[in-house]
Amino acid sequence: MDQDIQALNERIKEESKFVADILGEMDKVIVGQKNMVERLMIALLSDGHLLLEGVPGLAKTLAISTLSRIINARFQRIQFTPDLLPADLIGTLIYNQQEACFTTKKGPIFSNLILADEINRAPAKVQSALLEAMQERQVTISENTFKLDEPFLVLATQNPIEQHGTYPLPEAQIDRFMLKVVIGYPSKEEEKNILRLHSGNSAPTVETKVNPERILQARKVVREIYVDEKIENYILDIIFATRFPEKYGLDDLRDLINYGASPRASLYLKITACAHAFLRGRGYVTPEDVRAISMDVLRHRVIVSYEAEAEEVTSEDLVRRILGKIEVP
Amino acid sequence: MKQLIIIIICFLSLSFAQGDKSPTNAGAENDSIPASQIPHWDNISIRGFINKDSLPQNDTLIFTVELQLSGNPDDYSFLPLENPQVSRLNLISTSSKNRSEVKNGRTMMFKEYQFVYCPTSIGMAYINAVTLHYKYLPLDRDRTLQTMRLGVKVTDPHFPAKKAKWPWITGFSLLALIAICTILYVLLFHKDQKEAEVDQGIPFEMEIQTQLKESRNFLKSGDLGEYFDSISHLMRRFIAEKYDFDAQGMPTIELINRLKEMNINDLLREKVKKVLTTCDMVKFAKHLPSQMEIDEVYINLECCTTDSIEENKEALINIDNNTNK
Repeated sequence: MDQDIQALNERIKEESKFVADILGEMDKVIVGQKNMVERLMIALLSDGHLLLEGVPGLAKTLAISTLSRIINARFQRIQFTPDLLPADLIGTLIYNQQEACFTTKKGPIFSNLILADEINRAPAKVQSALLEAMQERQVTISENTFKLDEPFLVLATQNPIEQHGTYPLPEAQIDRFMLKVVIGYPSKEEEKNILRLHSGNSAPTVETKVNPERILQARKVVREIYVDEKIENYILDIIFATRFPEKYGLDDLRDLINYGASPRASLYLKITACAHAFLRGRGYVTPEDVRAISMDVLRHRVIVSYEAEAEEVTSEDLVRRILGKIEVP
Repeated sequence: MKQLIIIIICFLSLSFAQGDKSPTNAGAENDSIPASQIPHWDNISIRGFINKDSLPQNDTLIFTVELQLSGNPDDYSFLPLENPQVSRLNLISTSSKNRSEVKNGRTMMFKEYQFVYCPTSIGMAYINAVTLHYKYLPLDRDRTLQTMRLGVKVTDPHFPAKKAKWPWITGFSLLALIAICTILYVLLFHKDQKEAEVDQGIPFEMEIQTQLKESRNFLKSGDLGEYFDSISHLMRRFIAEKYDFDAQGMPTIELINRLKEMNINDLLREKVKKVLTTCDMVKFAKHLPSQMEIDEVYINLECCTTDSIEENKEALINIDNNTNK
């Protein structure tokens, strides 16, 4: 192995040890949902945000609150409702009678880990305020701009049922979420473990294993992971196949895709593949890393056409077809 | 008295005789004129005729009105002939001409009016009677002549088949096309068939072994990347052909997991894993393999293919034995 990569590989093996500690602690509380927990870690290490879709009661809140305790980060849960205002989220100016001046009252967004629960129930202006904070990593209240603390991770949830009276996120705003993870029910065996673990008098507890600084340091290491040109070409082939499927022998997908993935998707696919390799203690990315994370990066970025909807073809079906067609390097 | 009766009888018989000689399409006198002053009926007559009884919708019809006159033409003054009333016909053009002929020593004058029509729709088309007004100048009498009403059957449009231009060029092109197709068939399809026949005889393991030997050339030229690329490709092809799934499109871990799901024996799985992992390290991590690793991947792949050939042979022997039993 090239000396630099060998050194990097060794370093990453060392640096990524804390991941096993975090996952071990998470296992104490969260039964199953390995995919969700791993994606949560990937988003945290890639400096991205996560959109979770699943029915209520699948441990979404529990997962992120547990993670915040393990990494000793501040956590806030915001329930998005139709009457929520941007000020409820980012904060506002309050008149201080004693000092006869306005003071800034910071909103719940000033935390490390945010759970934006049922984001599609709040009106567009509130969604916009959150998504702007997610992108810019800063919030402006009146004339003052405040930087948000690092690490800053938003875990937004969407409920696939009860869509009446919701405000679906526009494509441009969904694109700002690095990953969209769809979670399902646990298996029967897992659910039995949940019954045993959470029905007793004492709730399982977790210990703080790392501090936020360690996460920030790991983020830097993730960006140093070696990505070969073959892997970069593989990523580009996948992304371009979503835009021009006919050039990759997928002529039948041409009419089913309205818009392919954006360049942001290429960037996110690369960085999340690096984070995936980091979780496995590798200093280089393999096609396996790209394949593993592709669905979560692309499912909300491939916009299906009316024809696809009529034929009940989902973006996941299309991504699956593309991944099956593009030859692994 | 007797003479008076004879004169009256002669007058009446002359009158009746005059009436019998009237032509069908000639005009009738408006007033009673003394017989000695009336011109002979044969002196002037009119008739109308068409050039065909039926015609296709995309053809034209010519309707001619012919006026025949003998004697002194200066004795007549004709009013202009009005266009005939028609149904299902469109007037395209009109023309007229004059001519004279000598028949039985008498000079006959002819005047022809021609009307050209185009049918508007399919069915029966009609040309109503045409009336010609004239004045007999010596007696200053107005008279009329009339043609008969005519009908014509309009049928479906007729389009004559176009004659091919330069038929020899078309024929020559066809011949050339057939010749090209024959050559292509012989060159491609027939050749492919022969190759396929040859291919069917060689097991894929043997082919992989041949390509494996060829891949050693990359080592001689010092191209390690290409060598491990080809080893990885050949191993995936071996798995794909042997276990019939898309191993070429699968990353290493996914492929190993698939083999595990298929309950493939641990020894083979380990060999596959070792080969593909080493290849991945070289391909994606700039790993510089030792001579041992280079030989190891080669031997492992060769071993996999040889074992597979042996397995197939054993399976064939078992089938033969079972058949003999």
